[in-house]
Amino acid sequence: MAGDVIVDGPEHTEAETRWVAPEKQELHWESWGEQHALYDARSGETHLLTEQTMRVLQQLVVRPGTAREVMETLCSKSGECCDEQSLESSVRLLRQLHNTGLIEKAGT
Amino acid sequence: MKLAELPGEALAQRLEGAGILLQTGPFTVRIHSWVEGFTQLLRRFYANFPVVPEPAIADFHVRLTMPGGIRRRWRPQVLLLLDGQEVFLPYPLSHAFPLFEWGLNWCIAMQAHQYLMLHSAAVERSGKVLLLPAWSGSGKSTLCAALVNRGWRLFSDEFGLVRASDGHLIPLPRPMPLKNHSIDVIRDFAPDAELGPSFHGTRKGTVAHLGTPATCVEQSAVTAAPGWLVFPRYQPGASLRLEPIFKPQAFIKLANNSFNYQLLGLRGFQGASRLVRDCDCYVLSYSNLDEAIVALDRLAES
Repeated sequence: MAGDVIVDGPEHTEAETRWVAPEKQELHWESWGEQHALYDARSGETHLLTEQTMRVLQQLVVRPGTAREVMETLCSKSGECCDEQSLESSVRLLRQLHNTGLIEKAGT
Repeated sequence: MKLAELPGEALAQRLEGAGILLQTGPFTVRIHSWVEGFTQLLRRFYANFPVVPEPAIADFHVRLTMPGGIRRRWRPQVLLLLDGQEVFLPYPLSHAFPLFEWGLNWCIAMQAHQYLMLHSAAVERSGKVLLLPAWSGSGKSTLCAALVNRGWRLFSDEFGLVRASDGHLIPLPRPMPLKNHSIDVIRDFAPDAELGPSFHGTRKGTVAHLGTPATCVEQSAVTAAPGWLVFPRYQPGASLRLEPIFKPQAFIKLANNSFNYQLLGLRGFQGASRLVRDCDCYVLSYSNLDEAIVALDRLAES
């Protein structure tokens, strides 16, 4: 329908989107230092991920969450301080994971 | 019994009758042929290959025949049937042997999915396999032929067959097809090398086959673990560069040089991961064959 176009909101809205990852047994990993290859058994696709992206995805495997929740959990694990930049980074990584079909919005 | 031990007439009779069962690497191939020139070349290039006693089950059935019709008189052709199916258009009769070789490659690439199949040359020294994965035009076959002429054991110039259970490479020694300029390069590099006739005007230009050393055929059942992954690239005028690459980069290059990585799914991922884990990984740019051989020899010695 004309005008019925969904446009992504600004990042502060995106930060509240809840994301879910596949079941743990669907994902197969091979790691070399801070580079990781991931085989997604659902799609048959292989992805190369950075350390940071791998951590975000693995956190979602443990528990679905928003960018803010993922960021807070990862910061608390690493002992780093969370700031606005961390949130932006988390939003960006989740968007990339979504674009590659590795995560989905909860309830979709 | 080796093919060479079969008298010429008996070979021709069997090719025209029930066919002959030839063992090449892990595969048993039943070959039928009514094409005279082909029989001589089969005998020449597969002389040391074992003939499998009947009865036995063949992995592939390859049949060379001449299509009928008036064309047979003025432009004779050869038709290849693979497992009873016509996969390629007919070729000029004189190209029967290269057609057979390509047909056998096609059978393996389409069916041997019990292995992770890499588009790669594979040679062995000191119990470790050097894999040279690359698509056509990279100089892979030329480099492979040169290495074999300098003492490396030929596994294959075309297929890296990786066994899932232990990650070992499976030998598949066969005649090595050299193309166009590579024919003269290898003639100059190894004047004593056993090169067959040149087939002009094939779909890949001029092709000539290099014989398989008898020792490589005799050791066809001796598998070996992978040692080195080297992605070769022939560049005219380039100075030699053999440089390590990061394993993630090697992994991607390897998957892109596989016949069946996608098809195997998780098995493909696990096989490729294991291979990259087990190997030292490099890229090689070269223009001088002697320099490339010295560099790869050093790599094996180190």
